[in-house]
Amino acid sequence: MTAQPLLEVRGLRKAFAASTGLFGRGPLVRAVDGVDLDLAAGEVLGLVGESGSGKTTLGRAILRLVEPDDGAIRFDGVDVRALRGRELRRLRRRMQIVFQDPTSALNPRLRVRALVGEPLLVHGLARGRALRDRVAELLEEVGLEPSAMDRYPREFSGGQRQRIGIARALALRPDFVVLDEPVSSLDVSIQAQIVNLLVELQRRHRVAYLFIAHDLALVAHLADRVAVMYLGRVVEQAATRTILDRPAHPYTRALIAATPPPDPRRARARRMPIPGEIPSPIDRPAGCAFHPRCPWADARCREQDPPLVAVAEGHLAACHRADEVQSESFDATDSGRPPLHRPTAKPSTARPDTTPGKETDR
Amino acid sequence: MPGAAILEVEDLVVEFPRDHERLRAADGVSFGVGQGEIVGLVGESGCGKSVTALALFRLVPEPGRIAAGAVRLGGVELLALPERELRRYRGAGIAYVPQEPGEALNPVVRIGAQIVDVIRAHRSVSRKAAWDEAVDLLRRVGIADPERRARQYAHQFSGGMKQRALIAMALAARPRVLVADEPTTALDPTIQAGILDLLASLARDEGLGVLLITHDLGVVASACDRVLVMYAGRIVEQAGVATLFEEPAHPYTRALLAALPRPGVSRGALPAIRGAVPDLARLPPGCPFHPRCPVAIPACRDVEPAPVALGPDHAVRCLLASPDDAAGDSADRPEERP
Repeated sequence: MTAQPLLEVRGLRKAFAASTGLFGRGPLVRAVDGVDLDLAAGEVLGLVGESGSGKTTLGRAILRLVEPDDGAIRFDGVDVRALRGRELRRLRRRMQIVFQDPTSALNPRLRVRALVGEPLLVHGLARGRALRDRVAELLEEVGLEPSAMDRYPREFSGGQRQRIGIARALALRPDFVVLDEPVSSLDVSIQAQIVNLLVELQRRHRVAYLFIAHDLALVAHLADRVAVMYLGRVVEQAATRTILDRPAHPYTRALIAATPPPDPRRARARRMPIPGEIPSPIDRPAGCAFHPRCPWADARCREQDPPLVAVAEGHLAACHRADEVQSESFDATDSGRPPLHRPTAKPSTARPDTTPGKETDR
Repeated sequence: MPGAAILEVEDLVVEFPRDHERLRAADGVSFGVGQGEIVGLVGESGCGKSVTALALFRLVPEPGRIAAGAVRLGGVELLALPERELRRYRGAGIAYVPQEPGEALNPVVRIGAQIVDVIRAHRSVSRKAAWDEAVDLLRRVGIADPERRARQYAHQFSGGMKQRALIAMALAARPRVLVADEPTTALDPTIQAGILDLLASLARDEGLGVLLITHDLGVVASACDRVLVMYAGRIVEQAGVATLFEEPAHPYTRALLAALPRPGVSRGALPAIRGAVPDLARLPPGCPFHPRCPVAIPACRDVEPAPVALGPDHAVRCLLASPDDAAGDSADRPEERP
């Protein structure tokens, strides 16, 4: 990482009132609960976490598409939260987003020409002939025919619509793009096309990505560094290789161990990673939020919330026992628990630990 | 699956009318699910996997219809039964676990009572006995403190627990085959692993047959015994799970496997499949995969390939596959064309 990161996020928080219907506002759901992130220019940071971990809210809060409650966001030295009106709009030229569902993200009544050209028009960057040429160029860049500009989103397949969404996000030549699960809604055979396109565009334009996904393999493919979220917080952050080989947080280890590789022998040799369920962010467990599911948890973990601290150069983890966790050899196929699935036709001996019974109480 | 199949599907054809034509969402689909076997049904959107699943229950949505084929459960031909008799098999013979656990549970009825309803719809037992059985079922699917949980509502359950409750509900009718439609797609990997483990133990310990519909090849690799790969309404390849991953014979299967990102191989271009999944109303002639196939030969444009057996439990629909090529080896295949 360079000395001056392009994006610096400190202590970012965003809570929503859980709706309870009849009597109005319910308890607060702390979707993003004090997140620190750094992103260098041209860097790809992967953000993984289960659904409900707050990763989508984090991405939107950074762009102020949802207004954060607290915390600081600095982009290229500018305090993003202090900006208003025109200044904020000007900064948004440099910060863009690609949404998960390309179908709902594109206005169905506009032609592709208007969809992709709109940001250029709004910011007064191109008009008329020049606008048209620029749109054609952008479409070609994302692998669409220029003739696509006279058609409507519904005339395209899901993968093509996501290409349109990417062209729109790139129209202003941003320095930073939030990619919020950009391939999750696409078919497997199409995902690779879009992933390749994103990699190619990143290389060509040196744009920084915050790549949000729940698929660890996908994130590992694209990202220079990975941040892992659990219940609204970043619990670990490190170079991709480090995250995969020497994870220091037990949740990261569990996530890696639980992601089945497309290989039956290795997939079956996997161990049941951790018991229990993800607690609701309304009822965040005391101490370390992960302790009810953590095989390492001790008394301290039940009482003290561990801060995100450096366990090595460029490697942050929020775990009291990170040193011990990290020093224990990590092999995704051997996390010290009984086999997850029948590797062979062994008689079913007692396997008390695999009974996924320790659901967390709420 | 020699002999032991509980569920047998033969030459199933499901048609939907569109623009004076009939498109085939399932076209000549044949497979079996054996006792204690987990069979994966893999494919992309629109390939016909959900329609195939619904056809097993004779619940193809209007205006679609089952145009041909047979669905036998323990030897009984379900497609020929009068509706009233068929109802005895829905749930009790073959049960369905839906994808979205949040939407499938009734929000205003206690979880236990929903299971009781299923039990009493199929068997005449007292409410008390049914309640006890419901609690037992919740325990069996790995829900801790089932007595208390049975009295709770869906909103008090997390996503993984809702999925477990739905599996309990499906088991309440004592089915022989469970059809699970993307049961873990909405779940975190750490929760997904527990659900797959549960399905595996139900198959292994109780002999339940499972048809697991998924698009996730990692799920297939970790949970399934056998795999069916669907494309454009057809099963283009079926094989034991090890064979499918180690010796995939259909170019589509190979391409799907090759396109997966794998940790450790960073940021190289993924071998993508060109083009998009075809519209069933506008299928190309010949092999429906040929326009996207890297190894297609001219004949692929004219001839729709019939299934070829490559081994005792390996069949593929590809003109380039031959039984001599038993290992599905690619050595003698034409070079990839530009």
